[in-house]
Amino acid sequence: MRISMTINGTQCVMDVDPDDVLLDVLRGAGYLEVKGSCHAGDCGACTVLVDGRPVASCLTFAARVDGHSVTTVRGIGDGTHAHPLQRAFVENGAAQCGYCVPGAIVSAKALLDENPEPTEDEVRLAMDANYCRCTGYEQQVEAVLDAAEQLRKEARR
Amino acid sequence: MGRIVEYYRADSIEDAVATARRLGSSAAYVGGGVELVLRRNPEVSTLIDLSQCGLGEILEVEDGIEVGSQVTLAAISRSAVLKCYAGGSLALWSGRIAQNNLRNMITVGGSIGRNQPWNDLVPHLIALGAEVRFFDGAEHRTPLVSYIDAKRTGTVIEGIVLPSGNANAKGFMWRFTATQQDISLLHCSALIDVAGDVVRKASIVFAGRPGHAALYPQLGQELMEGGGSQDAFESLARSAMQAVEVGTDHRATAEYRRDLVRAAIISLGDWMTGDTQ
Amino acid sequence: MSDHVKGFSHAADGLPSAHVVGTSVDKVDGYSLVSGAPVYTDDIAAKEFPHRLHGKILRSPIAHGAITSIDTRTAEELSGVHLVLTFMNTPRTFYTTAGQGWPEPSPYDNQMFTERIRFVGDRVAAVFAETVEAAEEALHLIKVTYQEEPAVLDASDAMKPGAPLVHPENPKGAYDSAHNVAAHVDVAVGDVDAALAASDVTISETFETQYAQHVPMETHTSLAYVDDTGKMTIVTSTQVPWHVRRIVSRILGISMSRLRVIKPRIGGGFGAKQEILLEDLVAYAALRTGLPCEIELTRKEEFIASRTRHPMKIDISIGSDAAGHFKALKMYALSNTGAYGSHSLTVMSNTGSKTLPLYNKAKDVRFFGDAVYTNLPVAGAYRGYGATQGYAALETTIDDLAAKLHMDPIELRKMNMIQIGEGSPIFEALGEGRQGVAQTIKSSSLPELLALGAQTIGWEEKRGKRIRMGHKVRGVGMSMHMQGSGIPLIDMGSASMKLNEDGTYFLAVGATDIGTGSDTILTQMAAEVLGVSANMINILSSDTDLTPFDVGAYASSTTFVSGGAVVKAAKAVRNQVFAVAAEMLGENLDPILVTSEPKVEGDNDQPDPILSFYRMDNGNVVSVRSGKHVSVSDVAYRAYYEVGQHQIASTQSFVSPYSPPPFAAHFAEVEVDDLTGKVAVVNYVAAVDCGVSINPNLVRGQVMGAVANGIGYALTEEYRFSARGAMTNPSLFDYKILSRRDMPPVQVIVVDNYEPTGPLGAKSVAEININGPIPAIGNAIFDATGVRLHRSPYTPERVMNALRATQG
Repeated sequence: MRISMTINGTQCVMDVDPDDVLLDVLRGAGYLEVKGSCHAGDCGACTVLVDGRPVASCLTFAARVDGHSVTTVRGIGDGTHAHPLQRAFVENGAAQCGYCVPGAIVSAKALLDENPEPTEDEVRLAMDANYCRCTGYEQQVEAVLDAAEQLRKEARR
Repeated sequence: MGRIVEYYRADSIEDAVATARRLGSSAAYVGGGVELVLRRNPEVSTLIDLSQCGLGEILEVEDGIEVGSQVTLAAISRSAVLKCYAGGSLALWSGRIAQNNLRNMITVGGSIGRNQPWNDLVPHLIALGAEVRFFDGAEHRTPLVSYIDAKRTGTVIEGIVLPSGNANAKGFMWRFTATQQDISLLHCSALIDVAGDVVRKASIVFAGRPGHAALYPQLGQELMEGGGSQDAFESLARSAMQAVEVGTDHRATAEYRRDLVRAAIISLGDWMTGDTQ
Repeated sequence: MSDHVKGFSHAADGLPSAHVVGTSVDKVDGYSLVSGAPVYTDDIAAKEFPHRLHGKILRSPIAHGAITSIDTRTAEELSGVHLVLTFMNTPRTFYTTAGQGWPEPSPYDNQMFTERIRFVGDRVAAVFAETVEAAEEALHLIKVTYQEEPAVLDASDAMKPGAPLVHPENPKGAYDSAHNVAAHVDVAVGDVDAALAASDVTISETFETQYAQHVPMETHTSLAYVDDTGKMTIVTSTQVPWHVRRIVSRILGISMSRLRVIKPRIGGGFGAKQEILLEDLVAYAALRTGLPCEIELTRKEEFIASRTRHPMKIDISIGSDAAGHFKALKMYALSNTGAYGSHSLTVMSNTGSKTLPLYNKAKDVRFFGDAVYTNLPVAGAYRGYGATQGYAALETTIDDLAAKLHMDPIELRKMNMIQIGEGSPIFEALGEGRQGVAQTIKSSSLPELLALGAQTIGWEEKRGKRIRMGHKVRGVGMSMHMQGSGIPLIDMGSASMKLNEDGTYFLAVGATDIGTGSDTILTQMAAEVLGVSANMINILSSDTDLTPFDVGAYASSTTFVSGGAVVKAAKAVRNQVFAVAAEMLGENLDPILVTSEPKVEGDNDQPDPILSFYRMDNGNVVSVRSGKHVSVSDVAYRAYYEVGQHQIASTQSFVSPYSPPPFAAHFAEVEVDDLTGKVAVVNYVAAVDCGVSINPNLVRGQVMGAVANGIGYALTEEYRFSARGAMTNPSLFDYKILSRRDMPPVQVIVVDNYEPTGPLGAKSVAEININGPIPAIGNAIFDATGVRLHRSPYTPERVMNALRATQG
């Protein structure tokens, strides 16, 4: 079946099977920044934003996203045009193996879009899907709080 | 995975029900956090998408608040109306159960339709006295408990109605999990209406026993009669340990779940007497 | 210098001055990772080989038995299926999947496929097809009949007479397969039984640890293809690329010159990827089909059929005098290695060798153990590597001894701990599965770690107080640890470095960055020696064709061993630069100073003699004698284009007789709920000495990650099995690791200390901190409730049962 969605701001039309999940469709189309891990909605690695809200792309039927917009971590920023969240992750040592990071950053992005001044507990709650086995989470939480501060500064300018 | 060959976008509930009737057990409503179950079910060949059927609203209606079946946990947690309902318990816990990327996927309809024994939303809705609005060619409205007992198929859940009579009551949830984003080993929800020293209304629900959510009217009755002393809750806890059917699965033994039933009631007592939530 | 932020304090006083070492430079791969670059194995497979074949493995549904018939014809005929592999059409080489040095210390009890079935999840067949779906469908079409046999599902039963034999074929290297013993250790110093009998006070306890998994976010993934020159190329999520090449070369009979192993970015390893699990299959399939072949394990396979931590049952006895001076330490480990003996000998050896020397005051010491085969999932390397299990037993038993002696557990440990200038006979008696190497401690911050940790957790105010709030009661507990830094005289790392004309450098290392940040800290070490900022050095790691040898990322070796190689290579290149600079400045420089082998040890008090003549300063060579300088870029242009042209480059390797232990003191404050048995960790302190912290941010990350994993291991993580030996919770839905909301506040305290045998003063940090949570939390539960738990994890139900048992 044919569906259309906006991926990172670009309109895309694709042919998908009715039981295809968004994760597989995105990776098949070259959006390799979306990482698969448990394929069962348990770990958060594959999280992307649909209409600005984090969802598990390994569970979401691609057909369900027809007509909606999808944001991956690359839609937030890349190596040469890094988003403050990405910079904060690097500077705080919040990425070790990095496999969970694309999912973690999009969850954080959705939070900061809605709540520019989150508490630490709000950060942890808004990213609780995103398992990380390397960092013990602390530096990731600090990175989000740092990025929030940075974004507030930029907004005031 | 399964054998899904068609993804059908219903444009109305009439269309959805007609399609579901035509296809029988090979059709299933999609969405609401039950995707994995559908993909693993070899019987299901057609998915019916209800997202275009206008069931995504939270509305104040004459006799309560209606929450559309396509409303997600995240949407409930953000709802200003629900934050004020029954002490805000539904909004609070909808923002804490499961995990962030599923809270945007799990819906009221999906939770009720699937009714997993460990689901944390359904028992709380039962405690709140929610009614289900559903459509099977005609409009119906029935208490959530009886809807689930009837195990209806083919019907479309349009939403739930939270009764306005709960304005002075407060919802309570106690869930015991291995980690914060785990499912419940035992779940207890309650709705309590207290005026001064008098408990005017008490509904107590247990789930994850590991059986499905069940309302225990006799426990509510005992709470109303017993007053709020520590002894009364100890006594209620003993009754609950007798009354609540618990079992053993790979997560916990029945014996331990009985301890948890007691813990839930003591926590309810602490909460009612203002010690803790 | 010292640093303090919420959750992290770092003291680095009295260290030699440094310009890059000791700073938290950004990870060299940081921006690539945070933008989701396609850098992991499956990303590379998807990007480069969209038409590759996908492999799936048929796994045994029974725990023990034999395949009596296997029919693959229908599967082979399915559209899209290219190859089905079974024991009938694959090499029968015996090997070990453990990625270790040579000669291999683990038994050769594995084959690609066999008729024998040894655990639920064992390999039966593999299918390679054009799509994952076709491969999965084909698995269902393979008709297998099994002859099921009685299984041994409890390690305690394995050595009993008449127990089913897991490896009746008597594999090479197994200790006594006729009694299911894969490995056996017995090391004694003095006469421990006599010393115990003569001790004023003795205590004997048993502690049991559970099956647990590493849970790397990226599951094991391997890709193989034959490149345009006919070379078999394996891209794989591994910690040990050279061991992969050696083992696959032997299994498949491919010459090493025709076999290349590339390690891309790795999504976490923790020991699980120190194992050759898929590389043989994808390489053989690529050989047979001529097509690129990939296997990506599912999360379920990762649980049931990759590797786990060895569950152990440890008996421990301690004898002391009435004042608490240890006289005797006796430890017996019964280690369950599962169906194969991967790392069975070496993990068990470390249970003794990484723990008992910490208390070197005991003169009569014995460590012995048996690693037994069972028909359960296969154990292997896991962060902590046996020491974690050993410390669970040792540190909880010492806590009980302190109670028996009415002593503060910290004071008891202080009286008995190893100190600078001291050794332990165990270092020499017990290495990794063979004789060890004598060690003398040259650096230790343990006294400071104990003091700072106690102060931070509030030890004096809280211990023994049993502060109660409603049905919750609080307590504090602590534990003390050491590990090693590589395996002395065994682990070797190497590095190649060369100078570019613009004064930048290229560094190639065999060291395997699996997410730890080793590429970054090795870059920093080179930059430190060469007097440039880290971004002047470009690093390539772990490609068996393009980088020099390294044993791999395990045994806490990379910073120390690979770091030593990098320091040597950087010094050699620096000295070559100095030689050209001397020519350009018209000054004399003794060629011996340039060509002598660079050293790693003792930089703090015996700097290289060549530094009395020249030093590096921000891209320039400065003559100490004349004060003149030339730029390193000018040196390169001259050397490459102008006069006496030659390449400025060096390859150096490092192997050390030392393995300086890092030290740690862990403290936990817990709240135990009487109603549910739930243990909440409310505060945690990890105080650590890892020598000089090369990159404090990354040190903190290593500590935090290990603590998080350790708390999960202490509280929730546990395999459950059916009566027939099948794991019943093989998913992240049922096997719970800690989420972001579960982590307690953790204060990481790092006290730097210059380790004279380490590169630029560094020791290791990767593993040690996973050893703390089980004993520190267990001791805190004891402080809070008086209940001693002898089995991990401390699940609510287990704690509840223990509380009930004591309270009646």
